[in-house]
Amino acid sequence: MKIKAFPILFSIPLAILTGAITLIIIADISYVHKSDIISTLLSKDIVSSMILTLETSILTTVISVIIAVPSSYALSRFKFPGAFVLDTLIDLLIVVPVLVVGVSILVFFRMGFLLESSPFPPAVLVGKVIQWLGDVFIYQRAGIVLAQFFCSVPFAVRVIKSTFDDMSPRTEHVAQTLGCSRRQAFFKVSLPLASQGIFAGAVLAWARAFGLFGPISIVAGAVRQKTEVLSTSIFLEISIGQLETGIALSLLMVVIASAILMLLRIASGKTLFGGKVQV
Amino acid sequence: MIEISNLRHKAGEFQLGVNLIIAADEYFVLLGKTGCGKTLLLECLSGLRECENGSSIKINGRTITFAEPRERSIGYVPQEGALFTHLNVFENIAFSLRVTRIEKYDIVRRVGQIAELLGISYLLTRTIKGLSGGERQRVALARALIRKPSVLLLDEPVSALDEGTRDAVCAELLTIQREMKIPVIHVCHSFDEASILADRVGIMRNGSIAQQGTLEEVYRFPLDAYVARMMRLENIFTASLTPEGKLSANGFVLSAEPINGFRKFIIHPHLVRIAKSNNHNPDMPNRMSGIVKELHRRGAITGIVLDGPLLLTLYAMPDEIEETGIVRGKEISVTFPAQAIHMLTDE
Repeated sequence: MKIKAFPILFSIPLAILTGAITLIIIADISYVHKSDIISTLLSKDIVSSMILTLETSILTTVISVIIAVPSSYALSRFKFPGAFVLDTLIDLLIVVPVLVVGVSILVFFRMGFLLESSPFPPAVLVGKVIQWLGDVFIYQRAGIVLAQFFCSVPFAVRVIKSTFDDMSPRTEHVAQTLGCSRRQAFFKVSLPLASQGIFAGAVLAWARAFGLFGPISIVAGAVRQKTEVLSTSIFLEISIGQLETGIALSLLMVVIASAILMLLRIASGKTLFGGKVQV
Repeated sequence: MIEISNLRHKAGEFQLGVNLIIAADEYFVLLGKTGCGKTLLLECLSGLRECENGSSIKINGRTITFAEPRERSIGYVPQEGALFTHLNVFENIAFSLRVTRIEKYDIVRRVGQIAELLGISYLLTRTIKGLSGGERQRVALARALIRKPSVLLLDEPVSALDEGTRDAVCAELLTIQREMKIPVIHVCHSFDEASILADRVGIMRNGSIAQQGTLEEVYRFPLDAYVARMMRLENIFTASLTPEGKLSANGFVLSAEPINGFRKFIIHPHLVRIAKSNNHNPDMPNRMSGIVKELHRRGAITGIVLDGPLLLTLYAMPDEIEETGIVRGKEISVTFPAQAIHMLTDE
């Protein structure tokens, strides 16, 4: 039988990549004992951080999609001066280190103090509002969602915008001639047609929020059973020398992430970027 | 009836400016090269682009110049149909009825009727992705017609189809138009489509209609070389005058009256005849000899390209070709009347 070189050539990098991922997971599995995993799973602190991680990451995903869908549509369909600048601004959140995002959020709320001592009354009022917002977010659970949102939403916007870019506006035009207003054409035609891309954007946003650590610890801190998410727990455990617990937690995150990603893919019947899912 | 007067729209540097009247039951075909503004005109008519102030569009006496697309009662079928791939064939056709909240039983009845009219009843439960090009166009047409629009706008509806399917869909379009008695504006760049469908044609160039009339009128008396080329007319020559003031091209003197200022002319291929004797025929004063360069079979007729003083195309029936023994490389003579020559204005 003739061996085909072309498919083999392209399969080698794929094998190296997936092999490497598998190897590091195997390394984690082989490092921890079953007892470490059980004790980790039974720990009150860990259960609390696991629930908080899922709650905040899902809430962040919902908010990200609600903001990303209209933003992406506006960037894709409307021609207005400065669109290029706005597009770049969103990309900026992808390019800069996530720590910078966390520090910037903190600095923003610090501005409230500075404005409050301003001689101009409107600036004082703005300062008070920012300070009030700071109380809502800083070292609070809401701060986790805020940090996750800033780091997740640009990924959702990127994917959803490219979906709208690929869709011909003609379908919407036809819907309008068939009796729809622009709003109806969007909700009855464009939105369902973009559902695959919106789903992909949501999954990416969720994945980013789920694994985020740096900005969360800066904005919300790492208070046990209050603002501690799984990624913070791993850091805290490793920082006090509990390597086994840290790795057990890492494995827990791998399992949760894999399960959710697979379920979502199977539920949608497609892979994230098109093509039938291979189960 | 559609009355378009002084319709103006600017898209970047491109300026659309159209005046056009289409009768209530007329099939109007708008021909033009890519980028001449055909689609832009349809988008202005359907309300997807705003017209400039001073423009006027009336349908059956009702002014719709600045009305929303949904208020215009226009059926619009864009290129490739633009079907909604998230809905099946039935839901695509029923789309406009669902938007207007028509009773369910009425939707089923009307979708069934229009599907039957277009011969696509067997497709109703199918998804869009599995449809052929012809089926897609029929579904798009059914979707546009189910609202019983006052006007049907078709943007190259059959240009992506193979010849057989194109002819079949064209025949259906004509039948439906005759049955529904609505005006149709059909945009395309194919003379064949126009010749099958058009009651009247318009030739569009750089955002305006260069010439309009029945197909016969425009074919017989094209305004300029652009219109002649859109009518697929060959034999376009640059005119010059002999010292005696006679019309000539490439040194070949023609028996026809030149018109001052007209620098191009055509010789209608269908009026050129193969000369079967050397006798002078006063009705056919122009005579040219040349070598048969090419023979093209075009359906029932054969096109002969004759290489003489002019590179002249003429048409002959296959039995005439056989009778005269014309083959490639043979020298023959042809004659044509003065009426075969038509002067063209500058483009």
